[in-house]
Amino acid sequence: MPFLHVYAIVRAGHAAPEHLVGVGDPPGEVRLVASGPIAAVVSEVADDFEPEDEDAVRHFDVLTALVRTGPVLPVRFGTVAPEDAAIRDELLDPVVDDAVASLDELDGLVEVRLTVDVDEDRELRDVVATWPELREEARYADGADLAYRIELGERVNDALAERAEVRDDRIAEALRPLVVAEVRLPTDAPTTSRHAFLVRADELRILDAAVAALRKDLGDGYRMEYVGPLPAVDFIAADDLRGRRDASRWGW
Amino acid sequence: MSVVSTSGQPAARAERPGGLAEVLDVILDKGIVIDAYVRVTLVGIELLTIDARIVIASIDTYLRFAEAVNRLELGSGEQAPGLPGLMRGVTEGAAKAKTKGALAGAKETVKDTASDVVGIFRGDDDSRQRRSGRGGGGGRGVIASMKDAASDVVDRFRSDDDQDEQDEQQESADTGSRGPLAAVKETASELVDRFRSDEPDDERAEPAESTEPAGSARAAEPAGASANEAPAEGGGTSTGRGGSASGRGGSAPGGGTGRRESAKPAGREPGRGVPAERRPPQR
Repeated sequence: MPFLHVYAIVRAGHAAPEHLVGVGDPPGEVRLVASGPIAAVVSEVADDFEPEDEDAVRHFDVLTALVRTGPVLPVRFGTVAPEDAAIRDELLDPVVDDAVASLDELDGLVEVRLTVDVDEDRELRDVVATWPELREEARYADGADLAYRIELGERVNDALAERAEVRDDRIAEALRPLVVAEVRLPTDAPTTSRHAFLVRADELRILDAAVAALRKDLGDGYRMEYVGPLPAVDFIAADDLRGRRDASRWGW
Repeated sequence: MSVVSTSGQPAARAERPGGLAEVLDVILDKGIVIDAYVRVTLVGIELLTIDARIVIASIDTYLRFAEAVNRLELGSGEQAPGLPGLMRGVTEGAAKAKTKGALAGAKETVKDTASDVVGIFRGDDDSRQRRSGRGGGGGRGVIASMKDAASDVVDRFRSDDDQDEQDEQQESADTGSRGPLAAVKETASELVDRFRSDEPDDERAEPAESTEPAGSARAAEPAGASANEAPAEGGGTSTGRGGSASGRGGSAPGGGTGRRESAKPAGREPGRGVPAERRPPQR
């Protein structure tokens, strides 16, 4: 018995692009399951469906295809249901009011993400130039005990983080006139800046130009990844839509 | 990552991130979560795997920075900036080798495993390419690796001391009773505890009746040999940014991420309500 994999909640009248490739093997046809003013975007998968890497990418691609024709509330990847009725009863109907409100709020808006990597060696050089004592202490790091090295590394990290903050501000400042809302996303290292911007879909071209200008302004030594349009995953007040929410993602 | 190089082209807007980690960041831990329901359910990866990387990240990053500054000292003056790719490759190699020398036994294993796990999260392109086709071909995917590690951790928290699950026993035969992520997480918290807190060891080794069953109770153990079984995808995939990471989270790992998390490594998971059977019953 096939299952339905759920991608997102959209308006019931959402003009979904045709021929979307769903998850699973073979990929199922992507269709809408409507209930009142909203609908879930689903495709059939085998009942033993286990998501794999390709499926993650396909799920992502379905979301980004959908967002080109209207507002989208993404559903967490890996959500499955046995049949249409279950989706209506458990997924759509309980959130219908909030979903309608959220979809209205997001109408005409999309998210873009900007990741900027700065050359680590360059940053380290600047840090050491500013705090020469770090260089001095690093002399003893080789072969020193773990505590010493962790402590030293942490201070280097803090210095890099300070610079990162300045860089973050600069990036945000450059795009602010075009941005409805912005979020700074967690990064893997203080040599990386990650921003999510909520922008008007019809101003994407202008934003492209602004990003290009920012890139030029930053100059060499920076690498940039610029992705969009995405569903506004970083701006949706998901708490209201979640059936249950534990206190804090990072509260441990 | 499909990153535009520093050689002058404007950064074009891409429809999709170059790395699977970024894709997962959009689709996995975001969006509407429905875990309260009966028939609509979740398959796949438990959210806690995402958290695990943060635990690993801080220490790994600190150690790397300590090495990097030292190396800079040797090379500064003659080495002009401007060869980021090459320079980074050298940095990673050197940092890793030195760290290995300094960390003995279990901790060496953990360090490697940490890098591997972090590599899984960021070395996506390679991993994906290696998986030439669905189900077939070579290594396992990022998601498969995360899942294995996650289920091991989940099993551990769910039933700390019974060996009832056949799955787990089967897995034990393969990889030892503890998965790489579990070992990393526990040992990472041990490291943090040992070097950052003044609390005596006994306190950490308190039995598991409290809200933090597995992580702290096990913190005193050395990492199991299972850590060696870290998924292969991670190891070979260090990209430009190297085999380490840290959850800067808008500020810095130094801002306390590592400390805060390590203080209560396992406090949250038991409450997350990981469903024992994630498939609808009518299956």
